[in-house]
Amino acid sequence: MNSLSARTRKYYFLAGLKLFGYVAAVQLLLVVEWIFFGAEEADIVGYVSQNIITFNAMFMVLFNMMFAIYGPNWYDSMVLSMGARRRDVFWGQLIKQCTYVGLSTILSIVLCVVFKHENFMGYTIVAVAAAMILGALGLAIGYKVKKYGKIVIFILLIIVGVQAGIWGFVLAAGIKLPISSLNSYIMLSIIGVGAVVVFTLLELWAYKLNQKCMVN
Amino acid sequence: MGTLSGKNIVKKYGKDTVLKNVDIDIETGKIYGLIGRNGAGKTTLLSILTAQNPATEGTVTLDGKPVWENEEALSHICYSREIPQVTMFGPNTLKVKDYLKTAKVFYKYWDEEYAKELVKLFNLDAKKKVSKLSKGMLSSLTIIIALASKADITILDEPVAGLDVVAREQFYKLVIDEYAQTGRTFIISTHIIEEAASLFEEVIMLDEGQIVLKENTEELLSRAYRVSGETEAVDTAVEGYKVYHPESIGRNKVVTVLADEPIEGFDGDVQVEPVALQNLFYAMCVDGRKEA
Repeated sequence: MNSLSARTRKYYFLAGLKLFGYVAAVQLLLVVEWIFFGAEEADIVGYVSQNIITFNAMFMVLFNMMFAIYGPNWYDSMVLSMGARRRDVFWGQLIKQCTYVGLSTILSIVLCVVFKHENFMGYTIVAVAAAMILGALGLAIGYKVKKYGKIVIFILLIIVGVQAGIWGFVLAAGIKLPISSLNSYIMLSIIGVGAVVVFTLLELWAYKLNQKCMVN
Repeated sequence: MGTLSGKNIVKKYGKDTVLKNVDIDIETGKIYGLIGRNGAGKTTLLSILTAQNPATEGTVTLDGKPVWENEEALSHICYSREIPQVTMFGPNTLKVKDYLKTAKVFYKYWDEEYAKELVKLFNLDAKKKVSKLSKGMLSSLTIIIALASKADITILDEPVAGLDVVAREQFYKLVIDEYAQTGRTFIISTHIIEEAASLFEEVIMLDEGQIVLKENTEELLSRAYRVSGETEAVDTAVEGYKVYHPESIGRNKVVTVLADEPIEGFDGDVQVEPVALQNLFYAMCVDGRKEA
């Protein structure tokens, strides 16, 4: 394994494994808590396994984005300062995210099948799409934070807050969106294609930012 | 391994031009000292030469091939710089051993045994987090990474900041030993000029984004003089030479002279002394060039 590309990709693959390890460790602690608090549940196994699947999906989205935001300012800067190439760092980040999201997905699918929670498969698939999209977005945000400082985070929080308010109002007022009247397969297809398009555009943006980035 | 060259390097941050058409050739097999005032552009120049920062204009090549995104070129270069104690959202919780492990991955010629020896020599706790390291320990870590990288061109930016005098002497000795054994090229940027001056085969002086001097240290100092005496006598003696930082004390005057070539002697009743590199740098920076 002599080429710089191969070494960089292996480094990020191991980083993805480590990330999955940390999150799995956090979930193990939560399992202990759920067992304790769910002691009086009729079906404790179902209760705990359902929680693992739900939280695994949430963590997959949250931690993938968080570590993507961290990336440009920390790990990526460190490896660039040690002679890594920007394009290898870009692919490395993608490998890291795919490793972490992939392992989390496998965990969720195994739990869904073993504990017969097939109804959570769709939820898991949506979480995977959200994790990849928000991971790409997190990377772009990370480059902007590196350039402009933490003010970017505050601006984002305001945008997210306003959006949450708008969607909350839509739900509370019972406003029907045109997409909701579509057949569920068509809706899922549109969401799926949309997710791929958004993901691709965000990754292209992250790539452009990556090419111009500096070591701190 | 040939020459690391920068041609017409310009770097702008918004409206500020930090580097102005810099041309520089770093020949391999030498120890260079890069000196300049704070904000002169030393770190920016070094980061552009090592592809850690894109230049606004200009090219950087190693043996005629571009350094930017070039695996072969990058494998011969190590730019060891200050490690941040704080990251975006909090303290840098990576441990020393994590940094060294990462360096092992990316530096093609990394010497693990030598790295372990250096960790012991500098008394560094490999399990300590970077955020808990003192300034001196951080400097030790950057030195370890630079030396153990075994890169043909090794650049150290302010490597002795925070080091005590024993550690500094250890560092200088390590550089000399490593240079003697391997012939690696070192570029050392430092503010503690006088201590490191004896190391520098060649000195590069940067001022306001431009290289004002790049010369063999011994040759440079052989044509630098401190001339003192009565004001009239000094003025007469140094007429026609480049004079820096004239100081008058009563009827007496002291000036620093940088001649075009070594001088046998100065006319008149004046005292002439050699000038140390630090004093020459100070004189050149303080008030620029004046001709008597």
